[in-house]
Amino acid sequence: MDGNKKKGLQLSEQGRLTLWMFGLLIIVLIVLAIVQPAFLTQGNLRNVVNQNAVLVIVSMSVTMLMITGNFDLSIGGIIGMGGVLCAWFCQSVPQGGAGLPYGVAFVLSLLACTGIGWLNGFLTMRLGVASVIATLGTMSIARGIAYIGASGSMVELGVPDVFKVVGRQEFGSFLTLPFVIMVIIVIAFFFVETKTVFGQKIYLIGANIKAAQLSGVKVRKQINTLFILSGLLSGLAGIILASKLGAGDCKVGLEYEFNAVVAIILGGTSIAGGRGTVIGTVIGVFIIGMISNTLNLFGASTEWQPIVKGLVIVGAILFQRFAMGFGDRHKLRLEAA
Amino acid sequence: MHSIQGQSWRSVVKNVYVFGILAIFFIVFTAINPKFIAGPSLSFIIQTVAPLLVVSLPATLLMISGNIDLSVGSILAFSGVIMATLSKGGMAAWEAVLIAAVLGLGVGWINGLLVSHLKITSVIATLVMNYVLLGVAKILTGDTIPYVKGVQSDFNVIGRGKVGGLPVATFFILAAIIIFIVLQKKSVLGKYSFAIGGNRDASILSGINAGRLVWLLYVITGAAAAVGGCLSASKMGVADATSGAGFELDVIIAILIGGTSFAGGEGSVIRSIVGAFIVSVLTIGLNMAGVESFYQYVVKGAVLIAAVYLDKIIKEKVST
Repeated sequence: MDGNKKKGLQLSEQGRLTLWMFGLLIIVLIVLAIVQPAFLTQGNLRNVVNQNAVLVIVSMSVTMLMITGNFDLSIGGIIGMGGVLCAWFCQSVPQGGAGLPYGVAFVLSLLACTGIGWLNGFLTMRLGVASVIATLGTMSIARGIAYIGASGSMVELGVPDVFKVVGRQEFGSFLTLPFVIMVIIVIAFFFVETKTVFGQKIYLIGANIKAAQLSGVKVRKQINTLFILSGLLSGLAGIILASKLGAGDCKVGLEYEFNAVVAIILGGTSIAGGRGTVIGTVIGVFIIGMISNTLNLFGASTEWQPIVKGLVIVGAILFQRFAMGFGDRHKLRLEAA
Repeated sequence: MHSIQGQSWRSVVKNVYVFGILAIFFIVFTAINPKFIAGPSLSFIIQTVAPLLVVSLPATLLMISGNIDLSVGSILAFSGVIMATLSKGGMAAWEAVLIAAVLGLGVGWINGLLVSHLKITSVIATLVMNYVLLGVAKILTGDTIPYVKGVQSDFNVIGRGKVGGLPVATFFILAAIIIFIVLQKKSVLGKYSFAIGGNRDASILSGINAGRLVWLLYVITGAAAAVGGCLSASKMGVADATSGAGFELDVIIAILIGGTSFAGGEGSVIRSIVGAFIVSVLTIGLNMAGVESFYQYVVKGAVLIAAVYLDKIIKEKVST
C-alpha cells in the first residue's frame, strides 16, 4: 500500500465532489433567478446570506464530527438552551431573571452549552455510548433546560438592549454581524481542516478508526474536542438567534439537526465518514437556503420545506454516488489502460 | 468464554433487573405521592402504555438487527391525523385504523427502501423521514388545533373504550406481545435479526438476505407505529401533528432500558415490554408528582443515558 498515493487520490475525489456541488450551487442560483425574478433582488439576497449564517456556524463542527463517523443530534436543543440561558442570565431581577451584566451572561451561557458538548464527548468516548443515543439524550436534556428557563415560552421582558446587538448589528447595507462571525468561523475551520495536523487526523479517524488509534492518534481526545466545539458553536448560534428575535424562546432551534444533516450531506460529506469538507457544507447550506427562500417567495407554506429538503437529500446522496461511481469507473479505465 | 453456569447466571441477571427497575420506580413514586399506588387505575396504565408498547416491540427487533427508526414519532402523529380525518368523513373507526396502518406500512416500506436498497445509514434515512412526515402531518391539519371536531363517536373506542370491563387497548397490547414474542423466538425473521445485527457480513455470506429482512422489519415497524398513533389519538381524543415529538425517545428508552444493544445482535422483546411499562410508569409518576412537563425532557434524557450506562455496567460485571 502506497500511503502517499492513497492520500492524493482521496483529496482529488473530494475536490471533484466539492466542485460538482459548487456547480450545482450556480445552477440552482440561475434556475431560481429565472423562475422567480424576486430572488435576485438585493434585499432578498441579503436575506438569504444573513439568514443562513447561523446554520453554517453550527454545521462546521458537526461536519467534522460526521467525517469522524459521529453524529450530533443535540445541536437544536443546545441552540434553544443557549438563547434562553443568555436571555435569562441578563434579564433584570424584577422580571424574574438573574440580572447579570450581558458579558457575564454571554460567557456563562456559552459555558453551559460547552458543558453539554463535553457531556456528549464523555458519554461517547468514555462510556462508549453510541453518539446517536448519547446526543439524543442530551438533546432532550438541553431542550428541557430551555423550557424550564423560559417557563415554556419566552424570556423577553427586561432584557437589556445590548442583548439585541449580536444578531442585529449591521455593517453597511448588506452585511450583518452574524454573517461576519460566520465568515471568521468558516475561515478558522477551513484552516484547521486543511493546514493542521488536527484536521488531518479527523480524516484518518473517519477512514479507519482502528488504524488511526494504532498510528498514535488520540482518538478520544480528538472527538471530545469536536463535541465540545459543537456545543460551543451551537450555544453561540442560539445566542445569535435569540438576539435577532430579541428574546430567548425555548422553541428556537427545532429541526436544526435535520437542517445541518441535509446541508452537510448536500455538501459532499460521506454518511459513512472519512470524507467531506467544511467548504462543501457551506455550499450545501446555501443551496438549501436558496431553495427554501424561493419556496417562501412563491408563498409555499413552511410545512412544505421539510418535504422538499427530504427529496433533495435523497437526491444528493444518489447524485454523489453517481458522481463518485463515475469517478471510480473512470479511474478503473485509466488503470486498465 | 463463559461456562454454561456463567451463561445462565448472566441471562438470569439480564432478564430480571428490568423488573427491579420497574419495582424501584413504583416504590419511589408511591413514596413521593402515596396516591400513586392506588391512583392510576390499571386500565389507565394500560391505555398509556399501549401506543408505546405496540411500537417498541417491532422497533426492538429492528434494533437487534442493528438498525434504528427515528421516524416512529412522526408516523404516530401522521396516522393519528389520518384516522381523525377519515373519522371526520364519517368512516367507522376500525376502517380508519386499517387504512392508517396501511399508510404506516407504506412509510415503513420507504424507510426500508432508503436503508436497504439505497444503503443510506438508518439514522439519517429515518431522521429525514421523521421531518418529512411531520411536514405532511402539518399540511394535513393546517391551523386547526385540536384537529378533532365532530368525529364519529367511535373515535375514542380503541384508546379509551372498554369491552367486558377490559380496556380495548388491552387486546392491542396482548396481540403485539404474542406476535412479536413468537416472531422473535420462533420465526426465521427473529433468528436472522440476531445474526444480521451480530455480524451483517457473516450473515450475508451464510445466505441470509439481510437487506430484504431489514426492509421487512421497517415495514412492520411502520405499520405498528401507525396503529400506535391511532391508539394514542383515540385515547387523547385529539390528533395533533406535533404529538409525536419525543416519542422516538420514549421508544428508544424502553428498548435500551430492556438491555437491547444499540449496536445490534443482542436484545429481547420480553424485556422491552417491561421497558415500555417503565417509561409509562415514569411518565404517569412524574405527572402525578406534579412535575411540570418541561422537567420531563431533562428526566427522560437523563434516564436514557442512565439506562445505557447501567446496561454497560451489568454486562461488564456479569461477564467477569
